[in-house]
Amino acid sequence: MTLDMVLTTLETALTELQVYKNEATDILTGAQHLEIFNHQPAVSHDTLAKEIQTYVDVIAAVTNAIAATEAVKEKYGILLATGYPQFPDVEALVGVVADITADRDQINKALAHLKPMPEATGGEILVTEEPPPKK
Amino acid sequence: MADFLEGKQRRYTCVPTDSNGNPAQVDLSNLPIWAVADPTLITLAPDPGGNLLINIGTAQSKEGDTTVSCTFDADRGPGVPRNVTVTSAVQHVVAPSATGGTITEQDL
Repeated sequence: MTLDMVLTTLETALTELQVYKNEATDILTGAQHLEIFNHQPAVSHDTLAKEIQTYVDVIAAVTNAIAATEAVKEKYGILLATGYPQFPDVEALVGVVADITADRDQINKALAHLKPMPEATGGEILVTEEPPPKK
Repeated sequence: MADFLEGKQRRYTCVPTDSNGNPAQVDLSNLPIWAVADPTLITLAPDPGGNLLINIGTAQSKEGDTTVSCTFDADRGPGVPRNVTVTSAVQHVVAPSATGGTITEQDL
Protein backbone atom coordinates (compact mmCIF):
# COMPACT_ATOMS: atom_id res chain seq x y z
CA MET A 1 0.00 0.00 0.00
CA THR A 2 1.44 3.36 -1.01
CA LEU A 3 1.35 6.41 1.21
CA ASP A 4 -1.29 7.97 -1.00
CA MET A 5 -3.47 4.91 -0.62
CA VAL A 6 -3.02 4.93 3.16
CA LEU A 7 -3.91 8.61 3.26
CA THR A 8 -7.02 8.07 1.11
CA THR A 9 -8.08 5.19 3.36
CA LEU A 10 -7.63 7.34 6.44
CA GLU A 11 -9.61 10.21 4.97
CA THR A 12 -12.44 7.87 4.04
CA ALA A 13 -12.42 6.39 7.54
CA LEU A 14 -12.42 9.87 9.06
CA THR A 15 -15.42 10.98 7.00
CA GLU A 16 -17.39 7.88 7.90
CA LEU A 17 -16.51 8.14 11.57
CA GLN A 18 -17.72 11.72 11.68
CA VAL A 19 -21.02 10.63 10.15
CA TYR A 20 -21.38 7.92 12.79
CA LYS A 21 -20.56 10.38 15.54
CA ASN A 22 -23.17 12.86 14.32
CA GLU A 23 -25.74 10.09 14.04
CA ALA A 24 -25.03 8.85 17.57
CA THR A 25 -25.24 12.39 18.92
CA ASP A 26 -28.64 12.92 17.30
CA ILE A 27 -29.99 9.69 18.73
CA LEU A 28 -28.59 10.49 22.16
CA THR A 29 -30.34 13.85 22.10
CA GLY A 30 -33.60 12.09 21.27
CA ALA A 31 -33.09 9.56 24.06
CA GLN A 32 -32.40 12.31 26.59
CA HIS A 33 -35.50 14.14 25.41
CA LEU A 34 -37.55 11.01 26.06
CA GLU A 35 -36.09 10.69 29.54
CA ILE A 36 -36.67 14.32 30.46
CA PHE A 37 -40.28 14.37 29.36
CA ASN A 38 -41.07 10.76 30.17
CA HIS A 39 -42.76 10.35 26.81
CA GLN A 40 -42.18 6.64 26.81
CA PRO A 41 -43.22 5.23 30.17
CA ALA A 42 -43.14 1.71 28.72
CA VAL A 43 -39.35 2.01 28.85
CA SER A 44 -37.91 2.16 32.34
CA HIS A 45 -35.49 4.89 33.31
CA ASP A 46 -32.86 2.25 34.00
CA THR A 47 -33.18 0.89 30.46
CA LEU A 48 -33.07 4.38 29.00
CA ALA A 49 -30.10 5.36 31.14
CA LYS A 50 -28.21 2.28 29.92
CA GLU A 51 -29.01 3.14 26.30
CA ILE A 52 -27.86 6.71 26.81
CA GLN A 53 -24.66 5.49 28.44
CA THR A 54 -24.10 3.21 25.44
CA TYR A 55 -24.35 6.24 23.19
CA VAL A 56 -21.98 8.21 25.39
CA ASP A 57 -19.50 5.34 25.11
CA VAL A 58 -20.01 5.08 21.34
CA ILE A 59 -19.47 8.81 20.86
CA ALA A 60 -16.33 8.68 23.01
CA ALA A 61 -15.01 5.77 20.93
CA VAL A 62 -15.77 7.57 17.68
CA THR A 63 -14.15 10.77 18.94
CA ASN A 64 -11.02 8.86 19.92
CA ALA A 65 -10.93 7.09 16.56
CA ILE A 66 -11.28 10.39 14.73
CA ALA A 67 -8.49 11.93 16.79
CA ALA A 68 -6.25 8.94 16.05
CA THR A 69 -7.10 9.12 12.35
CA GLU A 70 -6.40 12.84 12.23
CA ALA A 71 -3.06 12.33 13.98
CA VAL A 72 -2.05 9.67 11.46
CA LYS A 73 -3.29 11.79 8.59
CA GLU A 74 -1.34 14.80 9.81
CA LYS A 75 1.79 12.71 10.19
CA TYR A 76 1.47 11.40 6.64
CA GLY A 77 0.66 14.84 5.33
CA ILE A 78 3.92 16.16 6.70
CA LEU A 79 5.82 13.20 5.30
CA LEU A 80 4.26 13.63 1.87
CA ALA A 81 5.06 17.35 1.94
CA THR A 82 8.68 16.69 2.78
CA GLY A 83 8.99 14.31 -0.15
CA TYR A 84 10.07 11.30 1.84
CA PRO A 85 7.47 8.66 1.15
CA GLN A 86 9.69 5.85 2.43
CA PHE A 87 8.39 6.17 5.94
CA PRO A 88 9.54 3.13 7.93
CA ASP A 89 6.33 2.70 9.94
CA VAL A 90 4.00 2.13 7.01
CA GLU A 91 3.07 -1.36 8.20
CA ALA A 92 2.32 -0.07 11.68
CA LEU A 93 0.19 2.71 10.33
CA VAL A 94 -1.69 0.33 8.08
CA GLY A 95 -2.37 -1.61 11.29
CA VAL A 96 -3.79 1.56 12.83
CA VAL A 97 -6.12 1.92 9.87
CA ALA A 98 -7.26 -1.68 10.33
CA ASP A 99 -7.97 -0.99 14.01
CA ILE A 100 -9.96 2.08 13.14
CA THR A 101 -11.96 0.10 10.59
CA ALA A 102 -12.65 -2.57 13.22
CA ASP A 103 -13.82 0.12 15.66
CA ARG A 104 -16.00 1.60 12.97
CA ASP A 105 -17.64 -1.76 12.31
CA GLN A 106 -18.28 -2.21 16.02
CA ILE A 107 -19.74 1.27 16.27
CA ASN A 108 -21.92 0.56 13.26
CA LYS A 109 -23.29 -2.55 14.93
CA ALA A 110 -24.02 -0.63 18.13
CA LEU A 111 -25.80 2.10 16.23
CA ALA A 112 -27.83 -0.37 14.18
CA HIS A 113 -28.99 -1.95 17.43
CA LEU A 114 -30.00 1.33 19.02
CA LYS A 115 -31.44 3.22 16.08
CA PRO A 116 -35.08 4.21 16.51
CA MET A 117 -37.46 1.55 15.33
CA PRO A 118 -39.40 2.19 12.13
CA GLU A 119 -42.79 3.78 12.53
CA ALA A 120 -45.81 1.55 12.91
CA THR A 121 -48.20 1.06 10.03
CA GLY A 122 -50.16 -1.89 11.40
CA GLY A 123 -49.97 -4.66 13.92
CA GLU A 124 -52.06 -7.07 15.93
CA ILE A 125 -53.53 -7.51 19.38
CA LEU A 126 -52.35 -10.54 21.29
CA VAL A 127 -54.86 -12.02 23.72
CA THR A 128 -53.77 -13.97 26.77
CA GLU A 129 -55.70 -15.26 29.75
CA GLU A 130 -55.10 -13.43 33.00
CA PRO A 131 -55.02 -15.11 36.41
CA PRO A 132 -58.24 -14.59 38.43
CA PRO A 133 -58.40 -11.14 40.02
CA LYS A 134 -57.42 -11.06 43.68
CA LYS A 135 -60.30 -10.55 46.10
CA MET B 1 -59.68 -19.01 21.56
CA ALA B 2 -61.95 -20.49 24.19
CA ASP B 3 -65.08 -18.71 25.44
CA PHE B 4 -64.49 -15.68 27.60
CA LEU B 5 -66.38 -16.52 30.79
CA GLU B 6 -68.11 -13.93 32.96
CA GLY B 7 -65.78 -12.38 35.52
CA LYS B 8 -62.65 -13.77 33.89
CA GLN B 9 -59.92 -11.46 32.66
CA ARG B 10 -57.77 -11.31 29.55
CA ARG B 11 -54.70 -9.28 28.70
CA TYR B 12 -54.82 -7.44 25.38
CA THR B 13 -51.36 -6.54 24.11
CA CYS B 14 -51.07 -4.25 21.09
CA VAL B 15 -48.06 -5.25 18.97
CA PRO B 16 -47.33 -2.55 16.36
CA THR B 17 -45.54 -3.55 13.17
CA ASP B 18 -44.17 -1.67 10.19
CA SER B 19 -45.21 -2.21 6.59
CA ASN B 20 -42.85 -5.19 6.40
CA GLY B 21 -44.38 -6.85 9.44
CA ASN B 22 -41.39 -6.07 11.66
CA PRO B 23 -41.75 -4.67 15.19
CA ALA B 24 -42.29 -0.93 15.11
CA GLN B 25 -42.48 2.05 17.41
CA VAL B 26 -45.48 4.27 18.10
CA ASP B 27 -45.57 7.84 19.35
CA LEU B 28 -46.78 7.37 22.92
CA SER B 29 -46.86 11.10 23.60
CA ASN B 30 -50.36 10.80 22.15
CA LEU B 31 -52.13 8.25 24.32
CA PRO B 32 -53.31 5.10 22.53
CA ILE B 33 -57.10 4.80 22.51
CA TRP B 34 -58.55 1.43 23.45
CA ALA B 35 -62.13 0.46 22.63
CA VAL B 36 -64.53 -2.48 22.71
CA ALA B 37 -66.96 -2.83 19.83
CA ASP B 38 -69.68 -3.85 22.32
CA PRO B 39 -68.69 -2.38 25.69
CA THR B 40 -71.53 -4.21 27.43
CA LEU B 41 -69.64 -7.47 26.89
CA ILE B 42 -66.12 -6.52 28.00
CA THR B 43 -64.88 -3.69 30.19
CA LEU B 44 -61.31 -2.48 29.77
CA ALA B 45 -58.89 -1.17 32.36
CA PRO B 46 -55.34 0.12 31.87
CA ASP B 47 -52.47 -2.24 32.50
CA PRO B 48 -51.49 -1.99 36.20
CA GLY B 49 -47.86 -1.93 35.05
CA GLY B 50 -48.45 1.31 33.16
CA ASN B 51 -47.78 -0.12 29.69
CA LEU B 52 -49.93 1.99 27.38
CA LEU B 53 -50.06 -0.77 24.78
CA ILE B 54 -51.65 -3.25 27.18
CA ASN B 55 -55.19 -3.32 28.58
CA ILE B 56 -56.92 -5.78 30.87
CA GLY B 57 -60.41 -6.83 29.80
CA THR B 58 -63.07 -8.31 32.08
CA ALA B 59 -65.99 -10.31 30.70
CA GLN B 60 -69.41 -9.06 31.77
CA SER B 61 -72.55 -11.09 32.51
CA LYS B 62 -73.89 -11.08 29.00
CA GLU B 63 -73.39 -13.32 25.99
CA GLY B 64 -72.22 -12.20 22.58
CA ASP B 65 -69.34 -11.54 20.24
CA THR B 66 -67.16 -8.45 20.20
CA THR B 67 -63.65 -7.24 19.44
CA VAL B 68 -61.08 -5.10 21.21
CA SER B 69 -59.19 -2.45 19.29
CA CYS B 70 -56.32 -0.08 19.91
CA THR B 71 -55.73 3.13 17.96
CA PHE B 72 -52.32 4.75 18.21
CA ASP B 73 -50.40 7.60 16.65
CA ALA B 74 -47.68 6.56 14.22
CA ASP B 75 -46.88 10.10 13.14
CA ARG B 76 -43.13 10.45 13.54
CA GLY B 77 -42.68 13.92 12.22
CA PRO B 78 -44.29 17.03 10.79
CA GLY B 79 -47.20 16.55 8.42
CA VAL B 80 -50.36 14.55 8.45
CA PRO B 81 -50.90 12.39 11.55
CA ARG B 82 -51.33 8.76 10.70
CA ASN B 83 -53.50 6.95 13.20
CA VAL B 84 -53.33 3.19 13.05
CA THR B 85 -56.03 0.91 14.47
CA VAL B 86 -55.48 -2.76 15.17
CA THR B 87 -58.26 -5.09 16.21
CA SER B 88 -58.28 -8.35 18.13
CA ALA B 89 -59.84 -11.59 17.05
CA VAL B 90 -63.53 -12.00 17.91
CA GLN B 91 -64.06 -12.49 21.64
CA HIS B 92 -66.99 -14.77 22.43
CA VAL B 93 -68.29 -13.81 25.86
CA VAL B 94 -70.55 -16.19 27.78
CA ALA B 95 -72.07 -16.26 31.22
CA PRO B 96 -71.41 -19.73 32.68
CA SER B 97 -74.57 -21.80 33.03
CA ALA B 98 -75.24 -24.43 35.70
CA THR B 99 -74.49 -27.98 34.63
CA GLY B 100 -74.81 -29.79 37.94
CA GLY B 101 -74.51 -29.46 41.71
CA THR B 102 -75.02 -31.11 45.08
CA ILE B 103 -77.40 -30.87 48.02
CA THR B 104 -75.90 -31.02 51.46
CA GLU B 105 -77.87 -32.20 54.52
CA GLN B 106 -77.59 -30.67 57.94
CA ASP B 107 -79.36 -31.60 61.20
CA LEU B 108 -81.13 -28.68 62.80
